[in-house]
Amino acid sequence: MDNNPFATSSPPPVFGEQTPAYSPPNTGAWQRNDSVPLEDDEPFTTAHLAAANEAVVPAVSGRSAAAPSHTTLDFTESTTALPSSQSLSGKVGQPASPVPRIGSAADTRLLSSSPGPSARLDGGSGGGGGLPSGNAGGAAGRALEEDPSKFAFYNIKRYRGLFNVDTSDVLARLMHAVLLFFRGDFLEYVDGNPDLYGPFWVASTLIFVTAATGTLASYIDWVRHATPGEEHGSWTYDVDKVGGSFALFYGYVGLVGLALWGVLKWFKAGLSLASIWCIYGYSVAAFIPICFVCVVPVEIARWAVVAAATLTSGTFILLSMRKHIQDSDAGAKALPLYGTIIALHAGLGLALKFYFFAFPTL
Amino acid sequence: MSFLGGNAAGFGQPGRRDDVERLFTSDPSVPVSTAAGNSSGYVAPGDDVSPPLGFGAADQNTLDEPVWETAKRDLRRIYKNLVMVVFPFKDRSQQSAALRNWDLWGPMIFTLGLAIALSLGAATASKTFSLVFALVSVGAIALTVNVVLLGGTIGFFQSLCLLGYCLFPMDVAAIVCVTVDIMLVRWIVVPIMVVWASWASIPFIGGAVPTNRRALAVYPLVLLYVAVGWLALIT
Repeated sequence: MDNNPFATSSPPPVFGEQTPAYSPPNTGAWQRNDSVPLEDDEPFTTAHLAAANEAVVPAVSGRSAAAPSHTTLDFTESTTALPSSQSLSGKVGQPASPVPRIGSAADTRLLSSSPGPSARLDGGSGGGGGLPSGNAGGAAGRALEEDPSKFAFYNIKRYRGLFNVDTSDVLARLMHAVLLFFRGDFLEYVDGNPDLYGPFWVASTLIFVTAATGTLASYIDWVRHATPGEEHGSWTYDVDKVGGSFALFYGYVGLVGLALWGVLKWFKAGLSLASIWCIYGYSVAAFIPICFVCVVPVEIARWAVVAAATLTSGTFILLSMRKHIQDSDAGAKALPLYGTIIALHAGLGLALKFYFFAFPTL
Repeated sequence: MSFLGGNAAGFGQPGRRDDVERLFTSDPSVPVSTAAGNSSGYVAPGDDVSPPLGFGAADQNTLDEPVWETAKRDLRRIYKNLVMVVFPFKDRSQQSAALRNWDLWGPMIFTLGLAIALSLGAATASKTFSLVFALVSVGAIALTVNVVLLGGTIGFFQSLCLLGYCLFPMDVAAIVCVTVDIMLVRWIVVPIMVVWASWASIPFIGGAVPTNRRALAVYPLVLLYVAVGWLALIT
């Protein structure tokens, strides 16, 4: 491997030879897009962002597609092509595919020559060096351009590694968790790149959906049971339900996940907190569609649907963590651990039913 | 130049000192122009505007103006920012210039208005007020952090400013829902307002992240507006 971490963007002058003139890499990001009139020389327009986005993507992917298995680098291209960092991970020949993020590192990469590539690979939990699999939902060897761990702990950018997913990834993970719950391979599917986007926003969506459908169900119940002479405007919604919804779902995913991580750490099971939150977060997505069904005031349907969702999501959680728990030091304590997980999840389902959709029926 | 509107108030009311001073200086009296000195065209209250022509005592000292003038100038600025952000009928490059002069007064006024309007008719007014206020403010912060975490570049206060101004349609929806009891009217007005608020803010939020993650950044925004709209609907 001829990758020299100290290589500069211009070749060293050789005595007697004409050194090739250094030509700065030609990328679209640094060219003014004059189709949008500039005002006050300021860079921040949505049009510019979009234009810069379009321009940078073809420029880089074009170059990297042209140099998939380079070991000797053409120096005028080295500052824009990304294969140098990938090939040091031992997977020579893996094409570089990351899309540079606007303003994150695409700019700095183009300005400076590539520093030690090893620094780039250690970034976050979403670092490159993942398996070159074709999984859409997995990491697929996606690397962050910057090393997030170089930021201080209070800087948001340090945690970008936990959000290193695309739209297609999130959708694929959702499908995998809700529909393919019987397969126990979610962690392999996630492939070392757990994200916290899914857990947080799925939980938020669930909060809103349960509060909304629960309120609607209570309104329907009131309409059904209102005496004919009752005034129409006397139904009010219960604000406490919204607050309770927040507490229930954020608490379940966040606190139960945290507690489970602590227990598994004690058992030396080797699951990261992000992975556990990822599993729990995507698992509760199963409850979102059933909330809409629960609006219908038929008790049997409500119970059936809630039970189904609890079963599928509980199975998903258990199967995903089974291998890690079995390989850990838990031993005989694995069974009570499973029991606790099941009991907590059943508790969630029951709380959902009784808090949001429990009304006296005729 | 709309952004000189803030100084027009000062022009309309020249201090007597300035008039007197101008009589004694040998320079021709040229009105103070901030176009050259301050590219954004906005002068914060209390700032001294030093004209580039070296006028001496002719700087507009906003400290001496009546309180009503200061308040009027701020309100006028909020109105202009609002028009720029929420009613962008012109091209959007104007919008970014407006956002460089971010302010949090507009967002605060709109958030408070929304929370007050939604808590007026509620059974437990204080709980509703705190819920709406917390939801909107924490939601705006969460949305901004979400964009940064997804790899986008966004100015934190610029984003809060824009999201706050885009609450204006929800304010309208809340006022309509509080005053009108007919469900049909509410069901027509609220979705229109939600769409309007989203239309004003999606290009900004969506443009800050790479294209393959745009939906991830835009979805929570829509979720926030739908949640606020729902709260207005059931009042």
